[in-house]
Amino acid sequence: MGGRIIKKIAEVLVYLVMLLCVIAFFTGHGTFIYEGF
Amino acid sequence: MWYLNAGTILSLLAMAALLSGLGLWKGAGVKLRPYAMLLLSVLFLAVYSGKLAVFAVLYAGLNFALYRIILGSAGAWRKPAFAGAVLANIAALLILRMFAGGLLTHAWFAPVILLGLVYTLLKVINSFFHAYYVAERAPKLSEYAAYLLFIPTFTSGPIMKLHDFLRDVRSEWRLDSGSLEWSVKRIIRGLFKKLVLVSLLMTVYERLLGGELDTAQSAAVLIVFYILLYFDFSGYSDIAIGFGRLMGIQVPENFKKPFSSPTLTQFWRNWHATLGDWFRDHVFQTFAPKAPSRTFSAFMAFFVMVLVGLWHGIHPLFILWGLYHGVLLALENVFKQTTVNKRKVSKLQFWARCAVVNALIAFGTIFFSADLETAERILKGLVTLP
Repeated sequence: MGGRIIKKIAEVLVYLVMLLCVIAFFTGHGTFIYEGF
Repeated sequence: MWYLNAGTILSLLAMAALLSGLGLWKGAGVKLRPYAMLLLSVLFLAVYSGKLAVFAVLYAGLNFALYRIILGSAGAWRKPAFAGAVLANIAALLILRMFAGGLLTHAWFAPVILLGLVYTLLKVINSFFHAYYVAERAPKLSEYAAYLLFIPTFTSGPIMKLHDFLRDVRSEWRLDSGSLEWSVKRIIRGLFKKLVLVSLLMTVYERLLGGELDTAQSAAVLIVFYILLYFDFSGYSDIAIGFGRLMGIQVPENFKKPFSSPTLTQFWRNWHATLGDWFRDHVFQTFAPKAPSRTFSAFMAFFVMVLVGLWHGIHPLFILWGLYHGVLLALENVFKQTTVNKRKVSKLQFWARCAVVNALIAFGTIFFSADLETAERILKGLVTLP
């Protein structure tokens, strides 16, 4: 049970980080990402 | 690019929300669904470009008329009607692509009308096959146009079949929490690949290309470019599949672990799978006898890859790309090496085969590297020892 909750929390965090990177790109705060374009 | 825009994503989410809301309306929801899907798709296109929306609607209407002609024709007229409709569509696309510079300068046109047209053409031809071979459960105009203009797959697939689209659009559907979670995760993964990973890899690619190229650097350029192409296109497909499911349409998978393919034939079933399926169903099976010989299969594999190259664009590099992969696939057919069963070979042999396949594919990306000059530089670099 505990393992499943930790796995779910880890999954949510990973998707949250991915989403933040995408939002950073959309809002122009992710210039470090598209350096080179 | 279509999806590199927050407004696009928000509009697609709004479209999904409206269609999900309609799904709650039992009975009437399913009847209104194709109309709502079509209306929202046209609206979406119109906001992007009015000329594109008008062209897309006219294109869908004209092809629906051709669909009905094939469906209604009988006897000696049936085959010519079918072949004529397919060839007319291919000819129209070729003319538009070859003479785009001259034709599209007229005030009525704009280059934007070509957006997604190579994919829409494949869907149109699939619909003609449906009219000719299946000839039952024919779509209404609203269903047909909704199929061609379905926004998540409009620009670059995955290529849906009319039969599958009709099955989904005619079914009672409600968005459940499982589908919602699955779709949102898929869309986030896709955006992350397409925006973040591709951008990072693009930086690496350009830095590598900016320097002097020797064997190791050229090989690195090709590997980075191969992975970049994977993230770019599979990311796009993730977004399309995710939004498709949010709207109640099961968009087919386009990438099925392509890196673990032990032969090139298997690779093309796993990489841009819906394109390979399309060519198998509409070209290979049209011309293949009941029991095709090895020579015939080899020739068809070659022919199909040249066609796929031309489909990507009428450019010497795409023709070379088609020839390169055509020859490799023909050789696999000649030497009966098209399929390797993972369970029947050792792990070492299996992964060694996968490595060779990936190396050959990575080398082939040279033909996708922008222009002849860049391709030549990479090629020269490959034979320049450090």
